[in-house]
Amino acid sequence: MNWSLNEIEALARKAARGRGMSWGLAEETGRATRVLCEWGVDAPAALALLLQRHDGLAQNAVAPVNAIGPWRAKGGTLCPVAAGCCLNDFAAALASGPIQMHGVAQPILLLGFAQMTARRLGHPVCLTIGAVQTRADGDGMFALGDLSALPDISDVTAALAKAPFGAAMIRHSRAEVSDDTAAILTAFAQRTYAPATEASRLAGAGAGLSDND
Amino acid sequence: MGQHTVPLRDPNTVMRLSRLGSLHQSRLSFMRVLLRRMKAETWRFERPVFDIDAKGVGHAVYTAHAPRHSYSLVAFAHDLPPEKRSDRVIATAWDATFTLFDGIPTADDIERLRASIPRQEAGRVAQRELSVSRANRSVRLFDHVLERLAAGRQPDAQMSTDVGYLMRTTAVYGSGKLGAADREATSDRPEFKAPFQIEMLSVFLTRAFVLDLVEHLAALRAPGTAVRMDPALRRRFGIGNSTGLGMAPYLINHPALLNNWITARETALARVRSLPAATPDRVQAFHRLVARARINADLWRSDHPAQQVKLAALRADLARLEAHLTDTPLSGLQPWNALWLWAETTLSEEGQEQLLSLMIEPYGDLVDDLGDTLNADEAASFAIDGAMPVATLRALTADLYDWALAEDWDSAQASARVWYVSEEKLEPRLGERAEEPIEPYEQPLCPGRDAARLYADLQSAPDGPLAEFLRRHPEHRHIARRVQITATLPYAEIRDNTIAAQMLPIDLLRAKLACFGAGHFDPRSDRWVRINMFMGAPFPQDLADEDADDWTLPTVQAAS
Repeated sequence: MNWSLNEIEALARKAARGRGMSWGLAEETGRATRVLCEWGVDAPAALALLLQRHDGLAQNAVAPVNAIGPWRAKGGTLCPVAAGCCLNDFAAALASGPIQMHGVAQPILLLGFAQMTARRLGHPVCLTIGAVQTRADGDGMFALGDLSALPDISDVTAALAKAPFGAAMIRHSRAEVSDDTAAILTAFAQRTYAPATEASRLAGAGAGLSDND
Repeated sequence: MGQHTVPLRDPNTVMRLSRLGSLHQSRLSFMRVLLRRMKAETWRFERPVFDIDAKGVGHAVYTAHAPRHSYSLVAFAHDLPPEKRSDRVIATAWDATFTLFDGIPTADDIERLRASIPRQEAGRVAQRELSVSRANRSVRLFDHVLERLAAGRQPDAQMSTDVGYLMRTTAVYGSGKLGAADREATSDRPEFKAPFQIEMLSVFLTRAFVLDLVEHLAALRAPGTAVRMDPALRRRFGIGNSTGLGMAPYLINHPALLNNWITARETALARVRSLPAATPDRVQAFHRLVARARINADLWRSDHPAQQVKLAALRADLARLEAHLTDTPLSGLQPWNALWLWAETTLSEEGQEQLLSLMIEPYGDLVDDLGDTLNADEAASFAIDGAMPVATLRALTADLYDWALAEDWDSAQASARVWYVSEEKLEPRLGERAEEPIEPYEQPLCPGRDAARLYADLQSAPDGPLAEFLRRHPEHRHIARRVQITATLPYAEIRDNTIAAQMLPIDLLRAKLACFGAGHFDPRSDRWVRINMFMGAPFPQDLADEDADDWTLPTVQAAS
C-alpha cells in the first residue's frame, strides 16, 4: 500500500517503542525510516526484520558496548538504530579515522543516520556495507552496488567520503509498504497502546456532557 | 522611563500552562495569515458543483484559485439519524464529510472520494487529498434557521449569536493522515508555508458550504416562500469545532513550531511596546478595538465553571482597561510599554493576553511580516549535538528546567496523571497513575519529570561528551534532545507540570486553537473544548471587497 511519509514515520516510531526501545531511540527510528523511504529504500521491511530479530532482547544487549575501537554488541548483532545514534553523536570522531562496526543487523537502516551525520558535519559520509558502498552528502544519496541485495547482517565501515562516487538515488514523496511489513510493524506498535477499560473510555477522553445539541 | 528596545517576555512567565490557556487570537493567527494572503493575491472562488437533494444528501465542490494552484473543497452531505450524531472521535457517521483536493477534481475523482471520504478514518485517501474532515450540525440551530428561512423569515438573532455556528467540525486531518499528502509535499508553495494553512482553507470553504446548504434546503422545502439570510446575520455564523485530547500533545510534540508561534507573538508585542510614541490614528483604532473586545467578551458564553471565572475576570479587566485609558491617555514616551507595565500588575492572565492581541492589532505594518516566521524546520532541530560536554548539558538543564527540578516528582500530586494511547481508538488519553494499570504505556509528554530524571543521572556522570552519556543512557535521549532544543529556542518548552493532578488539558488545547485564530472557547470538561472559527469573517466571494482583517471582534452594532 502507498503510505504518506508522516504515516510511516509515526508507525516506525511506535513499532520501535513497542519492541522496547526508549522513546528517544524510537524517535530516531521513525526519522531514519522516513529519510530512507524518501530515497526509495524499503526501510519499513528492514525495520520489521530488525524488530523481530531483537524482540525480547534488552536494548543494552544490542547497543555498542564500547565507543573506542570497533563497535560491537555484547551478544549477537548490533542494533543499527543504537549504532546510528552513536554515529551521529560521535560524528566528530570520523575526522580522525573510519569507525568500524561488527555484525550490524539490517545495516541498510544505518544509511538513514549517515544522512543526518553528513548534515551535522557538513561533509559527505560513506558507508561500506559488504560489497556495497553508499554516500550521503546531506542533500543527496548515492550508491555503488545493489542496495536491495544487502545481507541481513554485515560489518560496516563509516568514514568521511573523499571523492564523489555512486549512482544518485531517486527522491520519493511516498512510501510503498507491503501488507506483510505493515502487519508486523502494526503488531509491534500495538504494544504501546493501553487496553481500554470502561472507566478509561469515559474518564480518559473526558466525555460526559452531551455532545449532540 | 527611558526610551529603549523592550526585550521579549521571559519564557518562564509566558510558557506556563495557565497563561498559554489564556491566549487569544491575533493578527498572527493562522486564519488571519490565510485571509490576508488570499486578499492580497486576489484569489478567485467558485462553486462548480452543488448537487444536494431535499433530504440534504449529495455533494458540492468549492474551488479556490491561488496564483499558481487551485484547491477544491469536496463536500459530501449525508442524512444522519440523530442517534448516530456524536462529536467524539469514536463516531462513525457525520452530517457532512470533506476533503481539500489539490486541484480541480474530475468526475472520476469525485467517485473515488465518495467511496472514502464519508468513511473518514475507515477510508483511505491519496496524495491529491490535502485534508480529511467532517462536521455535525448544531441540530437545534440548524433546524431553526432552516424553518425560518423556509417560512420567509430571518432566524432569531439572539439564538444565532448564542450558538454561533450551524455545523461544527469534529476533526480536520492534514499532514499525511489517512494517506493524505504530507505537509512537506506542498510546503514549498507560498500559500502553504505558514502552519495549518491547508486546514484553515478547508474550514473557510466549509463555512461557505454550510451557509449555502441551509439556504438551499430552505428553498427546496418551500420554493414559494423561502428567503436567503440577511448578509449581516449570515456573517455572524462561524464554524464550530469540538476538540478533545487528540490535539493536546501536539504542542509538546512540536517544540520548534511552538517556539516560533510564541516568538512571533512576543516579538510583535515587544515591537509595539518599543514604539517611542502612539499616533492619534492608532490610538483611536485601539480604543475602538477595546470597545469591541468588551462586546466580544459579553457575547462569549461558557457553562464551564473555570471558564466562567476567567470570563468574569476578562470582562472586569476590559472595563478597567477602558477606565485606565480615560485616566491615562496613550501619550508620553513609549506609551504602549507604560500601558503594558500597568497591565502586568493589574490584569488577569486572560486580560493581559487579550491586551497583547489588541495592542498589536492596529500595527499590521509593524508585525504582519512575522507571519513568515511561524513555520519551523523541525528536522534541523532534531539532531542531537553529541559533542556537547556533559557539564554543559547539566548546566542547561539546571537553568532551563529549574521549575522542574524544584518539583517533588515522587509525590502523588505531582505525578498523578499518565498520558497514554488507548488500544480502542488510537487516541491520546489521560489516566490516573495510581488507579489504572497504564504506566507501562506512558507517552513522553512529561518533559519536566524527564528533565529531573536526566539531571539526577547527569550529576553522577563522568565528564566527557554527551555522546558517551547517551550511549550508556538511551532512556534520556528524548529529554536530552528537548533540553538542547530549548537552549536555542526559548519558547519551545511548556515550563509547567503536564502530569500534575490539577493540570487542565484544555489549557493546551486553547493555546493551539488561539494560534489557529479560534475564538469563544467553551470548555465542555477539563479535556475538551468547543470553539468558533471564522465567525464574522467575509465569505469567499466577499473577500475582494472587504477588509481581510477587521472581522474578529464584533462591531458595535452587532451588540444590539
